[in-house]
Amino acid sequence: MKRKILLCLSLLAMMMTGCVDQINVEDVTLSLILGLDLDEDDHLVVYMSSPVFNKEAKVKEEKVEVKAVTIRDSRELFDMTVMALTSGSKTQLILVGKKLLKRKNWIDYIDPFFRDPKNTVTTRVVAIDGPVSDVIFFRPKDKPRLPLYLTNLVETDYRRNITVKTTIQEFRKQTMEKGMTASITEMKKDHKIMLTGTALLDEQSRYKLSIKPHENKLLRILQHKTKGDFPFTISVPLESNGRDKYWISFSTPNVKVKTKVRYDGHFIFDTDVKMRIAITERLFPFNVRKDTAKLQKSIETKLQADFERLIKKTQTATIDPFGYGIYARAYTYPEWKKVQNQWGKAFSKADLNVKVHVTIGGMGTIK
Amino acid sequence: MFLNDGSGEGLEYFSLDHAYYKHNLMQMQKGKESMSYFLKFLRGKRSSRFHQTSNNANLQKKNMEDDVLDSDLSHNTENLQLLFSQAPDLVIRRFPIAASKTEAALVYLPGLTDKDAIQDYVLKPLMHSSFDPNKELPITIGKIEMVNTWGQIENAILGGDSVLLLNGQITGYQLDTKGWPQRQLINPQNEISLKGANQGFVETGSQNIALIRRYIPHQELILKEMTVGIRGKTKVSLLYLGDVASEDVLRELEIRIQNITVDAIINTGELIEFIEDNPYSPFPQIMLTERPDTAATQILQGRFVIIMDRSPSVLIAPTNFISFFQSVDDYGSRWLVSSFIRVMRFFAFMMALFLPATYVAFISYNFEVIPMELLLTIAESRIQVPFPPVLEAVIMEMILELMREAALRLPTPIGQTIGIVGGIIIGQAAVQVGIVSNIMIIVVAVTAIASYNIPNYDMSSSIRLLRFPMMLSAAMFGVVGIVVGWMTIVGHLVSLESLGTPYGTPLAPFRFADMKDAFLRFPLWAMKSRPKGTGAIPTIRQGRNRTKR
Repeated sequence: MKRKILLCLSLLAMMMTGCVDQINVEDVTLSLILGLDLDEDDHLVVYMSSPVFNKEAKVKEEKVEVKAVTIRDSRELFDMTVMALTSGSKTQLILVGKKLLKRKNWIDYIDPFFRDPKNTVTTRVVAIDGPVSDVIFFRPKDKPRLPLYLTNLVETDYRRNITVKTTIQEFRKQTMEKGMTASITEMKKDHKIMLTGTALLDEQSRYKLSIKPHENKLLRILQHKTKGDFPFTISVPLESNGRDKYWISFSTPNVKVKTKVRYDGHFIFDTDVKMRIAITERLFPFNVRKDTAKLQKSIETKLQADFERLIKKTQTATIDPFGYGIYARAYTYPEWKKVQNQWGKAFSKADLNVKVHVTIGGMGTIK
Repeated sequence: MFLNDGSGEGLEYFSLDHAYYKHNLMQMQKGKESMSYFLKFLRGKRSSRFHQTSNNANLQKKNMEDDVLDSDLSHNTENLQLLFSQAPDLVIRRFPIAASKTEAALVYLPGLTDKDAIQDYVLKPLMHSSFDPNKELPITIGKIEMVNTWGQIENAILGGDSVLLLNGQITGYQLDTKGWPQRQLINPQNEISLKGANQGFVETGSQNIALIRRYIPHQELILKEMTVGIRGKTKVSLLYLGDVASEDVLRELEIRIQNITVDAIINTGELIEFIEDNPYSPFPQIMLTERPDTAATQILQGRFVIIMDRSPSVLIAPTNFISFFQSVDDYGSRWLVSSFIRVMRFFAFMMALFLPATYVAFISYNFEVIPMELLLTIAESRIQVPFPPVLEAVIMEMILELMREAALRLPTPIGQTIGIVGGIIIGQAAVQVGIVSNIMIIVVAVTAIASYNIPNYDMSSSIRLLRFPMMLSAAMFGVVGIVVGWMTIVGHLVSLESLGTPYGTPLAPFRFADMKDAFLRFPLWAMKSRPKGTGAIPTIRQGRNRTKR
C-alpha cells in the first residue's frame, strides 16, 4: 500500500514537471521578417513582419516598427503591441539596411541569433539598398504575404545563381573566416521589390560593393559552388574588332573548378574552370558542328575577360568573397600566417589567373 | 446438484458435480450457518431446521458418478429419470428388440441428436430386422462405445450421443448420433482475405479440427484433448506438429489449461485471459483467428493451435509481436508486393500510435519543426479553436472511437448512417463551429485509416488504446514525452512473453534468420527453416527449391 501511494505521488510529481514550457502555435507571433536599419539620427530601428491568423482580421499581416537598443530589446517592444508573444524561431529573412551595413560593428546586433538556441540559424541575410521600411511596409497586391514572397524570391533566384543565399549560420562562418569576406543577397525597392544581385562586404563586414546577377554566377564559380543552374547570355567576339553583337545563351550542366596556389613574392592563384555547355539560344548563323573550336574559343575569351573584370573589381575593393584565402592558408601557410590579418590587402596584390575551358556538349535540338 | 427423489424410500442424494462444487457449497453452508445464528435470533428456530436437514443431506449424499449400471432395465431407466429430472426434454424410448424380444431403451436429448440417424440406423434395424442378439447389434453407425458408469452415460447424453440400454446387460452402448444445430461453413467475417480460403471456422470443434486436418494430413499432426469448465465442460483441443513443436511450450500450455478452474468458458477470448502470460499488458499475447489456413500455417511453423468447442475462432500460441502484422494474403501475393504491404503496415502502426501525439507535441511545443507554409495554415485553423491541442485531439479521437463502436454494434443497414452522420457532422460542422481544427480532422482520419490497416483486430485495438497515453505524455512533455512513451512501449514489448517464449522476437532477442519474415516477406524458397522464436525444433522446412533456370 505504501509503495502504491509512493508510486502515485511520484507519478504525480513527474506529471507536474510537464506543461511549463508549453506554448501553442496560435499564441505565437512569428516574426517572419526582421528588419534592421538606422533612422536619420543613426538610431537602430527594428522592423518586424508577422502573419495574423485570425479570420476577423482584414489584413493578414502585422508590421511593426520600433526604435530599440538591441534586437532582444525590440522583442519586448513588439510584445507590447502585437497580438501574441513574439518568437524568432521561424524568422525567414533578416533585412539589413545599407545605412546600417556601412556602419562599423553592425554585426554585433545579430548576436541573439547565435546565442539564443530558440532562434533559428537558417534565416537568410538580405541587404536592402535603401531604407528597410520601404520594403517592410510594401504591400503588393499581386503577391502573397511579404515573408512568403521574399523567401521564395531568394530561394528560387539562388537556384539560378542570380544571387547568393547566405543563411545566418553561413554568414557567421563567412565573417569569422579570415581568408574570406561575406557576400549576401541584395534587394531594392523602387516601385516594386527587385532582387538586384549580391552585396559584397569587407573584412569588417561593412558594405563594400554590389555585383549584378551576371557577375554573381562568376562569383559562385570561383567560390567552387557549382550547384544549380548557370545560364549565361553573352555576346561572343566572333570577329576581332567586329561591331556586330553575336548573342548566345547557354546553360552549363557541368562546371569543374580547380584552384592552385603558390607564393612568389606575392600570392599566385591559378584557377582552372572546365565547363561543359549546352547552347540554348543563338541569334546568329553559325555552323556549330563544323566550327566548334572557334565558338568554344570565343566563349572562353569572353568568359575569361568577365572573370578578370570581376577579380579586378574585388581586388581594388580589397575584398576576397571567393575564399582564395582558404587556399592560401591550406597550401602556403607560412606566407599566409604573416598576412592573415590583412588578407584583403595581400589579396589585392595577388595574381589571379583564370583559365576557362569550354566544351560544347549540345547545340540544342535544331541545327 | 442435489437431486432428491422425495419418495423417502431408498433415499438417495446424487451429487453430479465436481469436487470443487461440493467444496464451494460446503463453504457456502458454513457461511450460512454463521448467518443463521443471526437469523435465528430474528426469526425464531424455524429457519435453522432447514439448514439442519440440508446438512444431513450433505452428509448422506453419495457419489453416483462411478456407480455402474444395473442389469435391470427398469431400474436403470428410473435412475436415468432421477438423473435428468430437471431435463424434461430427455427422451427414453423403450422398445422390444425384434430378434430376442429383450427390452431395450434408447436415451437421448432430441435437440442435440440427429433424428434421422436415430430412426434409420438405430431404431429401424433393431426393431424390424432379425438378428442374433448374442452377436453384434445391427446398428449402422460408425462410432459405438461401451459405457458402464452413470457418469459416462450422463456425459454421453449431454454431449449429443444417444445411449442404448439392454435389459439384462450391465453395459450400455454409446451411439454417435450427434446432430446439434450447426452453421454453414462461410467466409471468415472478421479476417477478410483476397487469396485465402473461403471457409472459416464454425462453432463445432470437431469440424474445426477437420478443417485443419484437411491442410495437414500427416501423422505427426497431434491432437490433445482437455476439458475446461465444471459446468461448461468445454472440450479444448490442442493441435500441433509432434516432431516440430517445442515440448516445453506444450507442457506449459497443458498445465495452464488444466489449471483453469471455472464454471464455463463461452468464448476463446475468455480462455486467453486464463492462460496468457501478462494479463496487465495492453498487447495481445495469443492470437485469435477464424481462418483455417492461418491456423494451418502457424502449426507448420511449429506453433500450437488451441481449438475450443463452441467457439468459431481458434487460438494460436506462442506468438510474437511481428506475427500480428502478417496476414495470409502475404504468402499468396508476390513477395515484392507483400513486402511492400508489410512495410506499409509497420508504417501504419507508427502512424496510428504517434500521429496524434506528434500533432499535440508539435503544436504545443515545437512548432519550429513544421515547414513555414504548413505552419501558417495550421495556425490559421488552430486560432479559432478554444481548446488546447491535447483536449482537441482527445475529443476527436474519442468521437472516432464512439463512431467505430456504434457502427460495429448497430445492425448493418443502420450502421451505414453512422458513417454519414459522422462524416458530415464531425467532418464539416465541427470545423465550422470551431470545436476542432481542420488539421485535426486530417490527423484523426489518417490515424483511423492507419489503425485499420493492421490485420489483427486485437492488435489494432491495443494500438488505438495506447494512442491516448501517448497523446497525454506528448501534451505534458512534448517530443520528449513521445520518446519516453515509445521507450516504455519498447521496453514492455521486449520483456513480454508468450507462453514463455519471447514476444519481441525476432527483434529482441534478435534472430537474423527470422528477419526474413518480419518487416519484409522474403521469397518462400528463401525461408528454409522454421522460425526459431517459437522454441520449435528448427527442422528444415524445405529443400533447395530455387535453381537457376
